[in-house]
Formats: sequence, C-alpha cells, structure tokens
Amino acid sequence: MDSPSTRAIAADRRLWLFVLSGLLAFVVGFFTLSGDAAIVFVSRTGYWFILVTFVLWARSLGLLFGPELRAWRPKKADWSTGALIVVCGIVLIVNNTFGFKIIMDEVMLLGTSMSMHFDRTVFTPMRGNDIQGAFILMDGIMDKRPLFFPFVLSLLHDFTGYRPANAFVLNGALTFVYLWLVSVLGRRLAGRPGAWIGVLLFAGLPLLGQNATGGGFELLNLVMILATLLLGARWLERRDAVSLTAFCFSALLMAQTRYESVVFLVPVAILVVWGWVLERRIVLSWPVMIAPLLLIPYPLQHRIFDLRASAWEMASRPGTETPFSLSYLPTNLAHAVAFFFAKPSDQPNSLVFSILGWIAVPFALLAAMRLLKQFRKATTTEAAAVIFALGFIAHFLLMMVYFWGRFDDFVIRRLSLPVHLGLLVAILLALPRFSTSLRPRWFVAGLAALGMLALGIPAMATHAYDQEYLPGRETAWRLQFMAQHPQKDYLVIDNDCTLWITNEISSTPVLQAQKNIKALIFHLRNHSFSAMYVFQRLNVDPKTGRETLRPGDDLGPDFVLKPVVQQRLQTLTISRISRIVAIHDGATVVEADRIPPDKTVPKDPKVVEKERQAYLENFVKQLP
Amino acid sequence: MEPIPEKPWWRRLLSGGPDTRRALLLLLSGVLAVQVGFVWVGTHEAEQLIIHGGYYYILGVFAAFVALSLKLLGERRAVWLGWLRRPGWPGLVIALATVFVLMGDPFGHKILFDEYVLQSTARYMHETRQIGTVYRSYWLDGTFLPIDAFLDKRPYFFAFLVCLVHDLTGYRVANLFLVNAACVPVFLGLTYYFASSLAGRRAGILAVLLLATLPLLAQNATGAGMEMHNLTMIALTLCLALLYLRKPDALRLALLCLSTVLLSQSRYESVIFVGPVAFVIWSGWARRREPLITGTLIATPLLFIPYAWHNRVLSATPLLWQLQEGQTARFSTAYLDENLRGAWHFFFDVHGDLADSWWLSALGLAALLYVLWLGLRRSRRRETAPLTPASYALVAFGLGAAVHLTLLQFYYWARFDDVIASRFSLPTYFVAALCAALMAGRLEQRWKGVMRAAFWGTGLYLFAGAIPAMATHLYTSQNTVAAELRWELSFVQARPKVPRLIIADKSTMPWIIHDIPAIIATVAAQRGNQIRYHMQQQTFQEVLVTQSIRPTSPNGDFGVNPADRLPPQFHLRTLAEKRFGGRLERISLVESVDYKAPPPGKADAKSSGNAATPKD
Repeated sequence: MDSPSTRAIAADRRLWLFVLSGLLAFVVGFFTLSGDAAIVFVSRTGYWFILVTFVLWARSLGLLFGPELRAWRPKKADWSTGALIVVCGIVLIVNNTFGFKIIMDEVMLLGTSMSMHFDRTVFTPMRGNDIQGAFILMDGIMDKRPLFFPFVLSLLHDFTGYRPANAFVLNGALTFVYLWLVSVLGRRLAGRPGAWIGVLLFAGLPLLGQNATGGGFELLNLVMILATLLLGARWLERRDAVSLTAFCFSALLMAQTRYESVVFLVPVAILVVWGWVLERRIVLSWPVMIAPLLLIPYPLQHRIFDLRASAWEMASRPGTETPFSLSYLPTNLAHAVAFFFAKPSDQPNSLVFSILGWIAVPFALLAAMRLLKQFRKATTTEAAAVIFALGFIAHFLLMMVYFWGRFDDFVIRRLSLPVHLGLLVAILLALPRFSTSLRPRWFVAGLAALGMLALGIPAMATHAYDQEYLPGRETAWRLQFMAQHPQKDYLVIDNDCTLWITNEISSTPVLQAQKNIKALIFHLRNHSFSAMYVFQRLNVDPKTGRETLRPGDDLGPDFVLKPVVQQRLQTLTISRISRIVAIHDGATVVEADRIPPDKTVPKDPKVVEKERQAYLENFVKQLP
Repeated sequence: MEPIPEKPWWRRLLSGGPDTRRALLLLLSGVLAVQVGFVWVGTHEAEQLIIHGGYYYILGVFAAFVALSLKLLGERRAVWLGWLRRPGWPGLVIALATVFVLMGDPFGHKILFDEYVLQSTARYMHETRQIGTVYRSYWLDGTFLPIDAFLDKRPYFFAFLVCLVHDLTGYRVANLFLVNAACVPVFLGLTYYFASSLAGRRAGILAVLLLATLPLLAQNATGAGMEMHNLTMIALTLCLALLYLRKPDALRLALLCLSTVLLSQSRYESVIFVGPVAFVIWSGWARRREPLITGTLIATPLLFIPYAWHNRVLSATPLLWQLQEGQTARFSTAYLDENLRGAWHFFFDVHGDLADSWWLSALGLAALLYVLWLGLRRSRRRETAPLTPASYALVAFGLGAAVHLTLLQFYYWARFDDVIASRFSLPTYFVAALCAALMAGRLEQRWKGVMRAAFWGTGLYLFAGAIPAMATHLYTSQNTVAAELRWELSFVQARPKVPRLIIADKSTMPWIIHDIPAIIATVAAQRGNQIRYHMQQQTFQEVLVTQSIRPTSPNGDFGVNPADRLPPQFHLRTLAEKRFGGRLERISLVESVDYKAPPPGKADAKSSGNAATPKD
C-alpha cells in the first residue's frame, strides 16, 4: 500500500486551515486580552462557545449513532445487564442523601448555572434581590471552575425551570449513564462478565454514591472521560469525519468539565494521529477545523489563577508555596494508600475495587506493552484503552504532585474517581489475558458483587464518612431553614451568601452588612424584608464550655440579635440563625417590629406613582 | 359550432328555483337577526335574556357542534385513527412543545381581574345555570350563597367550558387552568395540521416550534384568561374552513358555521372572523359551482343575536368599559399613535422584558411581504389556477387577523408593550407563524436549506431569546398586584378555619371564588354598624382587612392608600406586612368596630332593633 506523500499532506488545505485556527486560538487565548478583559470576555461569551461546542457534539452523535438507533430492536438488547445497571444505580442513590457535599465547588457551580440560565452570562452571583416581584441577579464574580457542568445544569433549568435541586437530578441521571458506559466498555474489553464487573465494582464504591447524590461535576467528568474513550475506539473503527467530530468534541467538552481532565487531551491527540496513520490520509471535518477556536475561553478563564492568588486555595494548607511540586509526592502517595486501603467505615472507598485494581495494574501494563507491539492487531477498544491508560497515569501523577492531592482528605477524595476508572480499565485489560474462558471473569464479577453487598452497601447505609464535614451538614441545616420559610422574602447575612442567592433569597456577607449598616437601617425601618437573619457559627471551648463566634461572623455591637434556631452539628460547634430585632443608629434604636405612624398619602394617583418611583430608586440604591 | 357559454353558477341564486327560496330565507334570517338583536328587544330585556337563557343558548350550540363533529370524525375515522396510531415525529414535537409551553411560565392568575371574573362567571353558571359574575356572597346555613351578581361584558363560551368541567368533576379553582392547559396540545395540533396542509410536514413542525417558543403563549396557556381558548377556536375554525374548502358539503358547512358562532363567543373581537368565514363559504360555493344553503346556514345569523344583545348591554354600561382618566371613548384615532409605537416596541423587543418573540415577528414580517409579493405576482401574471384550499383559508383568515390588528390600534387599552394588553397580539402571531411556515416551505422548493436555516434560527432564538425571557418571566412576575393577591390568599388560608370576612383593597372576586366572603373597603367604610353586628353575632369570627401602603418620600414614610383607609370607628391590629416592589401590602385584624349613629333622617334600618345598638 502506498503511504501518503508529505507533499500530498502539505497540499491539504483543510489541514492548513486547522493549523491556522489552532494558531489563531493560541494567539487570542494567550496573548491578546489582558486579565480583566479576558474575564469579561469569558463572562459574556463563554456560554455561547460552550453551546456551539455542545450542539456540534450532539449533532455528530446523532449522525454517528442515528442509523444504529433506528435499526435497534428490543430483541438485540442485553436486558440482564440493563436490569443490573438500574438496580445498581438505585442502590447508589437510595443509600446516600441528596445534598451539597463539597460546599464551595457545588454551590459555585450551581450559581454559574443560575446566571447562565437567567442571563446567558458566566458568573457566580454574589448579589441578588427581589425588586419588582422577580429575583434579579445584580452582581457576581467569575468562577475558576470549567463551564461544561454549569452549562448542562443550565440546560436542565431551561427545560424544567430553575430549581437548585436540579443539580441532584442531573447527577442522579448521570449515574445511570455512567454505569451504562462502564458496561459498554466492560463488554468490549472482557465480554458480558466485564460489563458486570465494571458495574458491580462501581456500585460498591460509596464515593460514587456520595457524588451521585451531590451537586458537583465529578459524575459528568467520569461520563465525559469514558465517553471520549469509547468514541476514540469508534474513531479508530470508522476513521471518518463524523466519528472524528464526535471524538474531538467529546474531548473538548471533557477538557471543560474538570481542570485536570485536560491531561486526557494527550491520548486524544495520539488516537487522532493513529487513526490518520491507519487511514493513510488526513481526515478532517469543518467542526474539527474550528474546534481550536471553540477552546478560546478555556485559557482566558484560566487567567483567574493569575489574577486571584486565592484561586489555588493554597491558604487552606499553610506553608504551601507552589501548587505543584515533586516534594508532595511521598506524602500524597501515603495518603493515597491510606484512602484506597482504609476501613470502609472511615473512607468511602471499596476494598475489593482497590485490591483488584492495584493488583491488575502491573498485569495491565504488561498487557499494554504487548498490545503496543502488535497495535494493528488490537481491537479498537483495546487500542483506545491502552492509549487512554497514559491519561489515567498522567492524571494520577498530577494528583500526587498537587499540594492538596491527599486522597484521604474529605474534599479531595472525589479526585480519585478517575483513578478508579483507570483501575477498572486495568482490570478489564488484564483479565482476558489470564484465560480465554469466561469463568475467571464471572468469578471476579462475583467478588465485585460480594464486595458491594458485604462492604459497600453497609458503608453507604451508615455514611459515617460524610459526618466529619461540618460545612456540608451546616448547608443541609440551612436548606432545612429555607424549606421552613418558603416565602423567600427575607434577608440573610451569611458569609456563604451564594448558597442563599442560588435559592433566590437575598443575602449579603457579614463584612458588607457592617459596611452598609445605614442601608440595613433603611430596610429595617421600611420593612423591605419580612425579617433579617444572620447565620453564625460558635466554637465551644472543650475545657470551659465557653462559646465564641467564629472569626468573621461577628456583626458588631450595633446589631441586636435574637436567636431563632440553633443546633450543635458537631460536638464543639453550634450553628445559629438569629433575627435582627433592632439596629442602633447612633443614639436612636430602629426596631424591626415597630410600625411607624401612618403618613398621609396624596389622593392624586400621578403624585402617588411619582413618589413610588422615587422610593423604588432609593430602595435599589440601598440594597446590600 | 362554438360551445354555449355556461351560466355563472351564482345565477342560480336568482333563477327562482329552490336555491332562490333558500337564499331568500337566509336573507330573511339575517334581517330578523338584526331586528331582534338591535331593534325589537330593549337593552334591559336583552340583559335578562342573556342572564337567564345564555347558558342554554351556548349549551345548545355547543351540543350541536359536538354532535356534528362526532359525525364528521366517524366519516374520517381512518384518517385520524391512522394519525393517532402513528403520530411519528410531528406527534413527538407537539407533545414536547406542549410540555415546554406548560413549563414556560408558572400557573397562576396573570391578568387581573379578567381571570377572576371568568372564574366567577363559570362558578355562577355551574351553580345556577345563569350568566353572571358574583361580587357578593356569604355562608348561609352551610351554603356559600351568591347574593349579588352582574352581567359581565366578556363572552361566555370559555366560562361555559369551565362550568362543564365543574359539572363533571366538581367545583375547583384549578379547573380553569386545566381547560387552558388542555387547549395547548389541541391548538398546536391544529396549527401543525393547517401548516402542513399549507406547505408540507416540515413547515407544520416549524409553525409549531415558532409558536411554542413564543413566551406570550406560555404565559396565557398557564393563566386563567380566555386567550388560549380563543386562539384554539380561531385555529379550529381555520381548520374547519380548510376541510370545508376541500369538500364543501352540508356537514362541513354546518360545522364551520357553528364553530364561527362559538368563536364569536370566545372573545369580543373574534366576531371579526365572521367576515372571513362568509368569504370562505362563498368560495366553497364557487368550488362546487352551485350554492349550498342549508338549514344550519340559514339559522346561523339568528345564533348571533345573543352576541348583539351582549354588545348592546356593554355599550349601554360605560362602567364596564374600564376607561382610564381622561378617556371618553373605547375606540378613537387618538389612541393610534401610542398603540402603533407600543406594537412596534412589543413585536421587536429583544431585552426579554416583554413576552414577544422577535424571531417570529421578523419571520412573520418577512413572510407577510413574501405573501404580498406572491399575490402581486399572481395578479400581474393573471394566473387563473385556483389557490389551494389551505392558501385560500389562510388569505381569508389572514385578512381577518389584519382587521383585528388594525381595530386594536384604535382601542383605548391596546398598547401591546403593556403586559396586560400583550395578549391581544396572539392572533397576529398565529397568522405570522402560518405565513412563516408557508414562506419557508415554498422557498425550500427553490433553494434547498431554507427550511433547515429556519429551524436553526428557531433553535438559536430558543436559547438566545425564548428561554432567558421565560426563565425570568418579568412580564408575569412584575405584575405585583397578582403577587399581592397570592400572598394575601396564602396568608389567610394558613390561618385557622373560622367564619371570616375580608375587607379587600382590590376586588372581592378573588376571595369569593375561594369561598371566603369579602367586601371592598369603600363599602365596608359605610357598613361599619353591620359589620359590628355580625362580629357580635359570631357570623364572622374574624374580620381581616387588606390595605395598600404607599411611600410618601424616597425614604419611605409609608401611609395607607386613601381608598383603603377605614373610618376611625374600625380598630385594627396589624398582622403582617410584605413589600411588593415600591409599596407594601398590609393585612390587619379588625379588633372591634364602634357604633356610629346614622346621619339624621336616615334610619339604620338593618341595625335598628337588633343587638348592634349603642345600648349593647
């Protein structure tokens, strides 16, 4: 067979257009806009970039799978695996509680989805109020988190109405999608037992259940990594423009789901080139040619890390100077071991998964080496899995050199989910090499089922691993307060104001309340809000029992508070919501419940309307 | 030998045969209808006839329409059963579009107080079989008894349908929303049917999508007004016109006539469509090349008599016109300028504050120009090939919609950018969607990809315009009076169930439809002694007052709205206050009412001799 000449490749205009769009995207993304301008650009256009990417991906999926879907008949379906997916998905969801698990991440993502839904802009609302009957987002900040998850969530808001709980609905639905994709991968690498192994191992992993019932982007990240892997296999199989588009756009969206998923772009690039090599020509489609341009917001949004040093959150680990360093490796490895092999009551891990997975890793590497030597003979799914293994390894190493890459930390555990997927790939690659018989595979599937029943479900039922995370429990407690006060016509002073704003309740942080005390007096006097509450946490001294306010929660002496509800959510902390009953305005005291004597209202409706407008203007100015 | 030229078909009307006799009967019926409707019956008698006979009139017309519809459906069983069994993509699109429309706005009362009036009328019909709107009602011996009612200006076919649902399922406020929600799939299905007849299957789907992405449709589909039902009736009559033009026979003619009568009873101005229907009937005769004058057609003018009576009652009762300060007439050229500005602002608003669809407006405008160009070209080329039935019906109803739009521009309260009046643009949007579908379908035949571009444009508008507007639905939520009422109702309903009277600052109807006796503040101010008496008699164990509190300066300094202020004999205790935009709403408890001696010469007849005397 003739190999394509360099001249023929060089003469391919589409390739040059692709290179040109890549260069253009590079220049625009990294050199043209200053930090603030970049943030404004992403805020105004980010939604549209991701919408176009998503539409092109959906279109390519339709073209790729449409004929198969039309030819699909119920007889062809593997109903037993389908039933297993449904049962396992239900097990994961019913044994965990719906709620925000990782507070900053999940609430910020929800906030971004809210602004995308209402305004088609990208920002996390920090100020919002009901002015004329509708809750209006008034101000916000650009979040550092990638945009694909908020975008998908905003789609759900678009078609079902805005509801904070949509985040849980989305993750619940993604759980079933993910288990289905796992079964597809398992079936392709190790037959039907492989599908069962994958589904059962993940169903026995409490960490997955915890995230399936949360509001974070972990599930979507897993779905996108796995979908990209499978579309990579499809690309190698068909090597046409449609499959390339589906594969590349899946990769684009995957890279915009979680920051570190960008490392999987390396195996994606390798698979694209490998496909071209197999096809002996450059295959390109117009969506792929413009794909680099659709990535422009990604580096621009990344400027946040330059603009805000706090974005790395290194303050959460005092003494940390750089986000990535080899010096973190030994500690992080120790923490990874502590996580993967901890008692199921302490960590949301799965011992069966960890043991099988880590045993399989060296065998899978050997199998991968062997496959690489005879790469043309490998099945397309095997080839894609082997190349993606590079991504899984890179991801794991990246986590291990990250300053906060301690897998046994409550907030960081979830970052091990792609590692678990890598472990499953290792199991599925290694297992068929031991024996061509299906019996050993069914045995492993049996072990996975046993692990789920004996360890996974009891751990999920008690979910002791959740309880140490106070912010999560405080959030659930505040949501309970909101449910008991459905009118949403009150103001809450709380340093986590985004939580209230995403529930369409006016809120402001403590510092802002202190600064705007005159405005709060205006609203207290005029009964702008049915009540003004403040959320505070009190730390209890274990020796004296003395309660002290958490730093940053003290409103100051001018505010007179009356506790409304409080709860000891952990042994040494008390969470409290109090009502502001009065505010000192110099020598005078403005009381919340005092109804001032009626003024005479003019009879002329025009005068009344004029005064109403003047008041409303002042009201807006005085909003906290 | 030259062929003998055939006589024009309409000559048969003058030939002196049976057709002439029927034509004379039709003419006689028309003259009789005008005489009875406008001359022989006095306004007061007309009012009484509507109140006492209106229900049976509309029941009769509706029953006849249903019976004839069933007959037609029986004849075309294979057609509709086939469609129901295999709805395909259009079925899926209509179902999804229905869900989208119904989720596009929260269910609730949007247009105050039209919707409460309709609800009250439906209830009165349900309970008494009379047409009337109750504004005073009390619990007497366990029955919530209507005391005072008036004949409202609104046509009553929609109220009749709601009454029918009450009859079959029991009285429930939500039944009205149910009727409107049920209209949505019917309307979208009819739209698809007509538009696909006009320009093919994809054009039908395009028309459905264009209307489903119109925020105004969602607002009205989830409201309690008669707009959604009126629109459905226009679509139904249009489809019946199409069926008739395809095969002009007696059954289809009868259905078209009855549908037109029902349409005229759906909204005041829908009577305009009588003209296009007459045009369609004449065209049907032309297609048959013989006149078809049936008993139903002869009776049809007589069926419009109640409409004429109702209109006269309205004209004679200026109180019902709801004119604003300085206005003296309902229709005037003085309103034209403002209304035209409002219409332009509404149709092309891109900010999402109004419930328009700028995409449909733009497409509709382009389609209108395209249709005009087609007509011009046709007349220049002197094309004699007859228009298709669908095109014919569209031209007729398009003209009707144009007259409707023009008429509204002279109406005193028809600025479309006023969120209360936006709903009047729905028939225009309906015809615009059909014209846009026609344009896309025909241009597609010449340039492939036009239809695809129209779908992509609609998709882009969905994300850029429709969804953000529906998400904030400012055009609904900024109606703070509706929000005030919702809050007041929820506050009162959350209190213990005791016999209660509400002294309302707005209308009594929202309370009465929820079985809560109410009077307005101005009446209460004059009836202090009676209220005092009934408080003592425990008729009302609780009397609550709602009042609007207005700011008097930029700093607030609130005071009670003068119209809501009760005399000093009422002693109130504030229970709750809530801000709605730039004003507050207050609910207070009447703790006691002092006795106030009636003015000299006016005996306090109702309270004299009873417990409500100073001696008590």
